[in-house]
Order: sequence, then C-alpha cells, then structure tokens
Amino acid sequence: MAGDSPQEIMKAVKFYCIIGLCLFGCTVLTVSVATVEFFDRGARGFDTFDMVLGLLIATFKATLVAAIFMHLNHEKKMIHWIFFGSLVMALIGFLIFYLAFWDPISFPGFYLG
Amino acid sequence: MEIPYLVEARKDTGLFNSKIAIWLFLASEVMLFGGLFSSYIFLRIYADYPWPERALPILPGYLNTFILIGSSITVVFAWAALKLRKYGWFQLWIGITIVCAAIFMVLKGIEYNVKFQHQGVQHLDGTIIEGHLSYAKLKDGIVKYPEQKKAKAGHGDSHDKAKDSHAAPSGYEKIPANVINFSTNELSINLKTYVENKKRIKFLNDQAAEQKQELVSVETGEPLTLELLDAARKDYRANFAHNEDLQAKWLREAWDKAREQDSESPNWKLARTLKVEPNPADPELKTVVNTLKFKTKSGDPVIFRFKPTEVREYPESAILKGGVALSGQLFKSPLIIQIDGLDFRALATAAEALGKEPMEEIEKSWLITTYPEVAKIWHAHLKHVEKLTKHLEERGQEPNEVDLYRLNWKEIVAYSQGISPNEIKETFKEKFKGPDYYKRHFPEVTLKRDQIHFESKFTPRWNNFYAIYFIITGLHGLHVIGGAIVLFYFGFRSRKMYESNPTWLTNRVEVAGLFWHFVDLVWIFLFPVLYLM
Repeated sequence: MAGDSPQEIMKAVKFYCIIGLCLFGCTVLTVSVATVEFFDRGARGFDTFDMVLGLLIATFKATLVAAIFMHLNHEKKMIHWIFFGSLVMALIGFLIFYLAFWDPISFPGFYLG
Repeated sequence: MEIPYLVEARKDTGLFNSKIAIWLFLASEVMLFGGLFSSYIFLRIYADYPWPERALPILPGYLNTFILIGSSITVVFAWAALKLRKYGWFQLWIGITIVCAAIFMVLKGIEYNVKFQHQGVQHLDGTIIEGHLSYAKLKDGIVKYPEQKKAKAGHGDSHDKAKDSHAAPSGYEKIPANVINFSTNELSINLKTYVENKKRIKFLNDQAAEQKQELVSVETGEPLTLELLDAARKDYRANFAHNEDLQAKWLREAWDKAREQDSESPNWKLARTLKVEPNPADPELKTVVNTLKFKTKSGDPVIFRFKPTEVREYPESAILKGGVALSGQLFKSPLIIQIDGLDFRALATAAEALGKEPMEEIEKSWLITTYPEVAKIWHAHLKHVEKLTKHLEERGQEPNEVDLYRLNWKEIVAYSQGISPNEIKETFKEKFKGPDYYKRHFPEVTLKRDQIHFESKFTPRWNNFYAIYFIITGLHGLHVIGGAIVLFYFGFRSRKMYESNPTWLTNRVEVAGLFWHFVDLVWIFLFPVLYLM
C-alpha cells in the first residue's frame, strides 16, 4: 500500500503500473487461449479444460486487482472476513445447479411409502 | 456536530467509517452478481437447445477489457495524486477514468445496437437462420413479389451509402417482421378468456358489426367498440359470479338437509352423498354468454394487422391473445431474410433423438431443398468439414457440433464465391459490427409465416443466453455509469473539500476507487464467461 511519504507513494505508483501491464498481458493470454488453435487442448472447441484454464486466468487477474488495487493485501482482518465471506456465499450459490441432480423422479425412495 | 471517524480510524475496527461501509456494500454486490452468474451456470447446464458458444464478436469485449483495466489504473493514480496533494493531477486522472467509462459505454451501446438489428428465425424443421431483413413490395397489406429482381434487395448497387443503411431501395418497402396480415369477415370473442386475460383488443379497422345479444343490450347494427366489449365483460363477470353464489347457496341448503337426515355420519362421508345439479331452466340462474360473434356489415373481408406475439395463426384461422378467434385467410406475411448465419444443430439433435442420420435430415430440410444457392454453400461446407476432420485427426481431435452444423458469415460468403473462409479479410469495422451488407453478397430466402416456428431480433427474447447476457452486461453498465457519476463529483466538485479537509477527500476517493475496481473485477469474469466460453 502507498504509505504517507512521497517516496513510498511513488514506489507504489510504479508497482501499480507493473500490475496493470501484467493485467493487460493476462487479457491477451485469455483471448489467445480461447482463439488460437495451438492452445486448444483436449476436445475440440470449448471443453472443461478451456473452462478451467479461462477461469484460472480470470481468478489470477481478479486476485491482482483485489490484492493490489483494492489494497486487500494489507487490510484489516474485518475486511477480509466481510469480502471473503460474501465470496464463499456466492460460490455456494454457483453450486445450486447441483441440487437438480436430486430430482426425486430419478431417485426412487425419495418419498416415503 | 461533525460525523466522527471520517478521517481518523475507529479504535475498535482500526478503520475509518466509509471503508467498512463500502466493503459491506461490495459484499452485497458480490451476492448480486454472484446470483446472476449462478443463473448463467444453471441456464447453460440445463439448456435443452444448443447453447450459443462464442456467439458474440470478441473485439468489443476485448477492447472494453483493456479500457476498464486502464481506468482502474488511472483511478488509483488519481488517489495517489491526491495523497501527494497534487489536485491538478488528481483531476486529470479522474477525467481520464471518466473518459474510459464513456468509451466503454459507447462500445457497449454499439454492440447492443448491432444485436438489435440482427434477425433470427427458427424454421419448423429446426433450422436456425440468422441475418438481416430484406425488402419486398408491399401494397394494401398484400405482399406482391417483384417480377424481376434487378438489384439484389438490400445491396448497395443503387443505394447511397451516406443514407441510412437500413433504408430500402426505391420501389421497395421494408417488410417489417412484426406484421401479420389476416383477412376475415367474421370474428368471435371468447368472453371467458377475455375476462381472464384482462386484455384490451385494438382493431386497426373499426368495422361495423351485427350482434343480437340481450345481455349486453346491443342492438342489431351496433358497431364493435371497446365500450361494447367492456360492457360484455362486466355482464359476463356479474352473471358468472351470480351463478357461482347461487350454486354455493344450493350446496349449503343441500348440506343442511342432509345433516338433518343423517346426524351421525362423519363430514367426509356425508359430503360424498351430496350432489347439486342446477336446473338450466331455473329462473334464478342468469345466462352466461361465452361467445360474442361479429361480422362485417357488408360481409366483405377486411385485413387486420397483428404483431406476431399477439396472434397464433393458421392458414384459415387465427387466435389472438385475449381469446378472439378469427376465421379467414392468412395473407402473405413473409419474412425475407439475407442469411449471414446458419445453425442446423437443433435439427441434428432432433434427428439423432429420432434415430435418424443428422446429415441426411439436413439434406432433406426445407432450406437446402428449396434454395440451390444455400445447398451449394452447404455442400462446400461439407467438403471443408472433410478437410478439417483430417487436420484434427492429426491433433487427436474430432470436429464438434459447431464445426459440423454451424456456418458463420465468413463461411457463407466464402463458399458462395467458391473460396476458402481464410481468404475472407475481415475489416476492423466488421470485427466490431458484423458483416458489411453493402459489400458482401448473402443469399436471400423467403419464409412464409406458417413456416416460422419462432422469430426475433437478437434481444433477450431470442434465447436464454441473450436474456442473461443483456441482464448481466446491462446491470454492469449501469454500475459503470453510477461509478462515473460519483467519480465526476469527487473530481470536479470537490475543491472546497480539498481545501478544508484533504484527507477526508482522499478517503472518499479511495472508497469510490474501491467501487470502481470492483466493477472492473466483475468485467474480468464477465468477458471470458460470456464472450469466450
């Protein structure tokens, strides 16, 4: 985080520039992975491998933004609890689709009797 | 009294107030967008139709990603400038951030507009045709096709490019997709459905009608009007309710009588013995008229124009929303479309489900059998698929459904010219807005209305993907606008605050910056999920 002295602030600004360039590079990588045939491993077109790779790159970029630009890397624990708590809730929400596998029609014995 | 802890940290939390507040707000925003992403996952996994993978042009989203990341950098520069007490630099960086936000919204607006102009149609056999609407001569609601097609309709041979790109050539009128021409001299209104739907029916031609109906006190020759329909609806509801109350009264009387005769049986057993059959001739009962019939005074048919969403039409009858039935003739209300995309995946899936060979069914489809130009394109595509299969075998892969059954605009243009799609050079504008209809030739097809299973522009109505796409990106765009407004306020209306309490302004800018970074964070996930997967 940028401290209060001008030197520390300028050092932080340079660091922000490096992180920004890193984010640009990751964006180029994301599109290349999706569009260049060389990177198309596994099944042709979009498959689980592409999904995992794309989301990993996106998560890495999001981590850089959250940690460096949003200063999460040196925030108080309370902020960590608030933000990561909501993230965990959202991730649980992503798994709601799994409940559809518990369709009682395909699960004999679900109803008593 | 001054609000405490705007600048100095609270002793218990170690943070100033607005920082905790913004993080709590961001936590709720995570849940908001998390819910939408969860909906996307659900819709995609359980879609019962081929999901539109990579349906969106990548370039607009690609540029927007760079713009938003850049704006994230500039907003943090603005905050650093404020910490260094350089107000001029702070305003410059905030200004650049706002300009980035404006560019983002302009690109998004262009993207949306392109989609709203793009037409999609699904044929009854499952073929999905994408493209742009073309033109035909339209006279008195009856479509007449040009005897000679000199210039290709929709192409710029005799067209001034400076004019609106969607204007029809002279002598032609654009056929809107939202008009169905139906000729009839008789229509009947089902009042029950009319009452339930509570819809008002608008008629473009207010024709004189004959109706004899004592309940609504209509005299013969009285015209069909909305007031008449309202009166009929009121009478229907009143009489229906009266009869229902009467039935309940008779049931009560029958119950009391049965209970007098049998006081020991339990209620459920007694209820089984009760039956109340109302006598239709009972003078207390009121006549409930279900249907009103109207005819044109002269007996001659008139032409009604309806929107496709308002009417379910068949060759000799039509049923409107609200229960109005018309018997007559469906006039030519074709969809004339220039094809820039073909998708046979739905047809192939249906064929496989029936145990048929997909490629054979595609060969027998209406589009391939009716239009030799499209058939030529399809057969050229099959040759390309053969070469692709050999190439992919070397990589240990095989063509997927998109390779086999879907043709994009480059393939359609290339195959109609007998060249490879790789030889088509896409301009920068085309990468953004789709193919240039004035420079490129696309095959034109005419679909009769009764051949259309579903048609729509590329709006939320077209399919679930576009619905969730517009919701998520629209909501994200609103966040961009909101954030830009707040940043503008802090950047250009904060001189007094800077002079009186610069640390407070710095804290507020930091907090606004946190919101801006979150907006960027959402886009970091949105772009690959919607555009690349």
